[in-house]
Amino acid sequence: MNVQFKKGALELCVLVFTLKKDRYGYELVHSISDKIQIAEGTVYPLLRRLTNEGYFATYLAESKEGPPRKYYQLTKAGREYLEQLVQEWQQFSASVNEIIEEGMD
Amino acid sequence: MTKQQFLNELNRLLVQIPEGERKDILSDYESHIDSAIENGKTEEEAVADLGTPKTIADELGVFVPTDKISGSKKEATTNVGPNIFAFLGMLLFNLIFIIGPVVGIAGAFIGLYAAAFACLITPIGFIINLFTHDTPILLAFFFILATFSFGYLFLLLTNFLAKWFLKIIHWYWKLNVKIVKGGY
Repeated sequence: MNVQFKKGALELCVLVFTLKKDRYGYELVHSISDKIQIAEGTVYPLLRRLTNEGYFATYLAESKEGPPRKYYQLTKAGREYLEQLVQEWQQFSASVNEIIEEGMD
Repeated sequence: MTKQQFLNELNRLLVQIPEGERKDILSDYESHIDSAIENGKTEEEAVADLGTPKTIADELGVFVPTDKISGSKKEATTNVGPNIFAFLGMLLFNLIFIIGPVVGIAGAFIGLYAAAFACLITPIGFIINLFTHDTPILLAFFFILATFSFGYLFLLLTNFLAKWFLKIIHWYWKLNVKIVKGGY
């Protein structure tokens, strides 16, 4: 799959995964790599960038199994950004689907 | 690769990132690997799923010089061989677009040098003329001075232009070599 394309979609996915519930890194990465084939390591730079841009706030919380985990929480700005991305994505994918349907007739 | 090898390699590639931030990045990966192992993966698998440290450094926007990548020697030797397609492409391009103008300009330089040389030797003709004809000496003197100075200036100018021309050719040659070697 086209790399830039995948990156855009990946961004959308991590934001969506944190909408209902704060997630820690592994959980977030794993839920994506379960469905989309990626090098898991490339998600962390993305998380870092989204955090720097103010879309995520992070905090540490204790875990039962071991050392504390870093959780990602969607900020207000992140929520707005996510809404914008979802809207763009839906318009985009609707157009692509339309083109496919017309072309495959 | 073991977890420690992975972290060491990544740490090495990220040297230009300030230590605090670098430690933070490394700890993200360390806890990721730990979590993956807790969830039933082997250490090898957990590390392999992350991708290479180089990919991660690229993703972080860190410029990594080739010599910093471990195992880059192998890549280097496979990449360094001249690219036959680049070579053929450049050859064709040069034959079609470059050779003609270059030969033309070189010819023009030969003409310019010949003209300058002609101006420089004209005074000799005048001097002979002085002996064989009844030319006024002052007129002849000015003619000699004028043609000689003109010829000399002309030569200097041509030399200057020729130097630039050679420089450009030299630069273009190096560019060609670079392209063929796969520098671009």
